[in-house]
Amino acid sequence: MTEVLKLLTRNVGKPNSTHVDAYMGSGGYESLMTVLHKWTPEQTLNEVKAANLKGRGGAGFPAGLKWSFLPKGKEVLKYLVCNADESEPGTFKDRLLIENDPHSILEGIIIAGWATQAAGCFFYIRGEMPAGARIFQKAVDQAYAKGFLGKNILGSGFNFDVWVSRGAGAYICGEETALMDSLEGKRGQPRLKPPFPAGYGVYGVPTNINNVESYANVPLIIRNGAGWYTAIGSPSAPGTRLFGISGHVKRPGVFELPSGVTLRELIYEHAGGILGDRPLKAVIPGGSSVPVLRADQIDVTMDPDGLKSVGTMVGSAGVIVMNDSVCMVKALLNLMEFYAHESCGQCTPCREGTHWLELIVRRLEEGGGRPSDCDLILDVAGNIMGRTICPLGDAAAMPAISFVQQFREEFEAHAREGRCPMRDVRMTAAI
Amino acid sequence: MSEQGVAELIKNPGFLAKVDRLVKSYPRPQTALIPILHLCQAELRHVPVEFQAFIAERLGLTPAHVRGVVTFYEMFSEEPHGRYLLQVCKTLPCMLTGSEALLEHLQNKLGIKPGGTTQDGRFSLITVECLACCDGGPSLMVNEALHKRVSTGDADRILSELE
Repeated sequence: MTEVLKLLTRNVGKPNSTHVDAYMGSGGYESLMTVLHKWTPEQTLNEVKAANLKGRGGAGFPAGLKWSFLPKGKEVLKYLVCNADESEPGTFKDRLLIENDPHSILEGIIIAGWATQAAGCFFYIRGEMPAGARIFQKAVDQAYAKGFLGKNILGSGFNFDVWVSRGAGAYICGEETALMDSLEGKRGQPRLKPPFPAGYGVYGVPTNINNVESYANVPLIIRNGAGWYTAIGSPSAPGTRLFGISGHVKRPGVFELPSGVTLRELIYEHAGGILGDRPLKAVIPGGSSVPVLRADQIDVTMDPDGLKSVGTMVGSAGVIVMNDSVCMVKALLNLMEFYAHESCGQCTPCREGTHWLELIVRRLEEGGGRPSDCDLILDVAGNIMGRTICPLGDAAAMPAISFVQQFREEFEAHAREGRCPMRDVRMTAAI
Repeated sequence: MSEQGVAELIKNPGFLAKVDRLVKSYPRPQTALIPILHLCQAELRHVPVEFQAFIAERLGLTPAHVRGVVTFYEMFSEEPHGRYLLQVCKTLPCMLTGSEALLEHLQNKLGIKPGGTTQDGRFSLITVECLACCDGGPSLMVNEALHKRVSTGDADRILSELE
């Protein structure tokens, strides 16, 4: 069995893990001291680039490369953003870091600030995580008190601030430009790109945005070197990942593992197997937006190459497991309700399409389905794909298409019988 | 009652000091809008149009802009909710683990549908999308307190411990 690695989660569960003194007691902020006193911003950026740190928010874009897109030099005003708006269904790993080890995120942010010579970072956290916001704000206050934030940090001449801001209940604000509009006190509606955030971000200032887990990797890379980092996990996605596993497993939770672990091992070894000891039916491997897999497709590695081989993606590494008590039409209906509710309404294909997908799947589940509904779902979803400003449209279309493709017989049975064939099956509950 | 509440709030020196601190704590004042709306929502359990007009003027925005923001975000409401806001996560991982039974139990217990408030004004019940606590499904947030793996029995206990 692939062993759990305690790198990002090294402080989780330790006493006072959110306090700066506890963090410093185990070597915390030494990476920041190293770069401020010994490394140039360019060296710092190059190390992260060499580590091939892939973004952990869902898109997997190389973080160091993203940093290099910002204009150079400290005379240009630049901002960083930390995306802590974790809201992709099935994803709950950033919450673990924010609530248990905020300083590891903060240290990564300040190092990124040094590498890019940014003026400060907006920490945008979900409105529904008030405890996390308080914990992180306290960590920021402690970092100011220790001189890790503010003017002339540790005598280096580098100035850097962090501002904590809460969202207010909108999935779309996890999209980078919607998040920036939200930071500007607006409705969170994604911006047309280009211009990209590296040229035009918060307040129109060049901005770099990364996910919580991405920043938390940075102090480890500085401390141990890019060579150490790239030796962990798969070459296509070095390092560990925080896999969140939920739904019908016996031990749901976050598991830190090298990216090359297989999906089967994750489900049956780490998460203890299927709840109710029933057969596995389906798995969504990377947050609700990625294509679903059947039970016979789980012998793949949890990295971009492995999941691509079965037509899906690693996304946010949130694994949702469904046993055979689940009706796939009902499961898709739940997701379609989500996307229809969370569409910002800006682009017609998404605003209208997500609504129609919900209605069609609902009528199938409730007994009013038509034989042509499978093709209609594929048609509507296909007309959303690639036709919207932001990826929310694709995020709704991908599960719709894959659920129908992978479980077409079950969808057709709903239309044929004029009711849900599984209506008398009691879904396995966790409580 | 709400009008009186808001009239008092926007004259309350302690509250105004908090608003001022927020306005000054970000690089530009407009970033303070959403944090200030959170303050109002917490105090009054809604963001009435009178407050929207007040804060629009304070930040140099139009009331229409502020209303657009208030109505966009789920956590702000223009109508007050009860003293305790019961938020049942309805998204897939929680549905798989039992959120439908939890919601049904709360509906029956309180005699209200999602979106409703009990007559005594104590409880409002709503469904919410994913709370990023999928390993703790079914999950229930009561105001700011998150409860995990909530059975119907747990729900009864949680409610009985509230005032």
